[in-house]
Amino acid sequence: MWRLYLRDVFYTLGVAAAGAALTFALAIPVCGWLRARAFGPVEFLLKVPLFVPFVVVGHALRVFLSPWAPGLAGSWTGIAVALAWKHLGLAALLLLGAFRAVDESHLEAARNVGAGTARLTKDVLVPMSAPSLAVSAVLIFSSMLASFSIPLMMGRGGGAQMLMIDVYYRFGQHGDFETAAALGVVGYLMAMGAALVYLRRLTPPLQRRSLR
Amino acid sequence: MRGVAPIHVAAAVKRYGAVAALRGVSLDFPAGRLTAVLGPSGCGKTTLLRAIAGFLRLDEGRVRFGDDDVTALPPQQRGTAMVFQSYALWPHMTVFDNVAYGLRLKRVPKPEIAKRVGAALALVEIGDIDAVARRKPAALSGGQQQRVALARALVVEPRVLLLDEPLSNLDAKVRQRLRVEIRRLQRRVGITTVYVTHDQEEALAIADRVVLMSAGRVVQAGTPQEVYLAPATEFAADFLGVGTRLEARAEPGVLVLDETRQRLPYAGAERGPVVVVLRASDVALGGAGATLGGDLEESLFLGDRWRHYVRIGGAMLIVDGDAPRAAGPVRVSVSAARLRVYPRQGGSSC
Repeated sequence: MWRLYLRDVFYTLGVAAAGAALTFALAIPVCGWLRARAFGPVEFLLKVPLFVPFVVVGHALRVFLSPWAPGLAGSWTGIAVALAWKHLGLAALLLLGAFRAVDESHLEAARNVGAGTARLTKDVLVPMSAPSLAVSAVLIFSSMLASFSIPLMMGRGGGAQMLMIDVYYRFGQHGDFETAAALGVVGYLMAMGAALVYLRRLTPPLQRRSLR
Repeated sequence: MRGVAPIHVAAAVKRYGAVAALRGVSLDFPAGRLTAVLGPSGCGKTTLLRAIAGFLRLDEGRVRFGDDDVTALPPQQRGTAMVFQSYALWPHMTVFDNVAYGLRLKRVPKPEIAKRVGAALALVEIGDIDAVARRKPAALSGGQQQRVALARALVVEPRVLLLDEPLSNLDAKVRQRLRVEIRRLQRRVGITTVYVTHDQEEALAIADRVVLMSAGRVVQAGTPQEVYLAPATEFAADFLGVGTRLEARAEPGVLVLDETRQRLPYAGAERGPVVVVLRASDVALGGAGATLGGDLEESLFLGDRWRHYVRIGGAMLIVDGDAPRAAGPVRVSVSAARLRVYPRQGGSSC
């Protein structure tokens, strides 16, 4: 069974990693710009995806992508794009919080010696928010690993599937509770791997030592 | 250095909602000199500095560096360098990278960056340059961090150096030492410098020129001696030095204190309700001549002198002396030449 689903495991990891990378590639520059010069309408637009249901996102992206890039709508890249758009709001929420916690004087010191917004983001905001960014990345990656509605709505006829789709089909279509449970455990272990990074980042070193 | 430029601020106005932080400030900061902007918290001195740096946009007025109008320029195009109260060193970069950052942005060749960073760190007397340059800011003391911040500001050869309460976070001893070093450094580099502080001793000690601000306005500008010895207003007299403010009525030849009706000889021109500012160093317990009667309530030992608190009616007169005194009735001598008398107005400070 492991051999049957190994491809799906890597497919799921790949889609989640690509989706998370795309989310941050979009969110970091926009949040850096918003940190440097607050602009309410852009911040609002960035957070809109937070309030759109997963199913609606999947459907909408399929509808929007199909006419322009028919191959993309049902592909792993299409799913990654949809997941990235949906998680943009959460990423913006987490990143803006982290960027706004960076003291203004650190930004002013950089602007003072010639840094524009892009360099400010790359050289000051991102490195100074690195722990928060890592935690945000893990949260978003874990959420994407467990995504179900968007891959279902974006739909693929065959080939590799997201793991949660497999769980649904084994359980819902075939009544195969054992395989569904085993796939669920695999999904859980994958999320736990990410969670370990999260917990290590959140737990201060001293506490970690005493926990050993 | 990109040419030493004087700074001209003309009719600067900055409002935060209903609150005016700057109310038509016009000032000239001479080229190559260190000007201290002094005033209590909230008087607008940091707002003025940030307007010069370009970190905030003025509602009205202009800022010029020499002949260049920089009012509309963003901070990165003004050629200023600022040293912050909190140092604002980037914690993820080494000392070398902190100082080199501005040069890298200007695409200065690597060998020249290394040379200029070394020279800047030597200029601020950081100590073992090679060892310090490799460290992160967190591994340095507060004094060393402020030296690195100074090096970072100077290495880009700015037209104007802006210091925002740079010594406020340091302990008294380091502050005293760095104060002298900043002065020496500024003289050596000869850069136009604006130094914002609320510490009058620091301002008087370090500056070629002192600008005293209150409630978004310039109260007085001049050499430290002029501002301290001839304060132009009641606020200036009250803010500079340690003193007491007594309300009185000026009559020909005499000042009559409102509360106690005690009298002091007065040769000045003011008439009617006035405020008399008596500095602790200008009055003494006992002595001959004009005196005021009061009750000594407390004497505090300050190390190099004693500070006595004498109650005169509702006011507490502060008197410095060189010996302790027992509590009880005392006479306080007041030198007529040191009397500072101003027409009485409403609230004066921020």
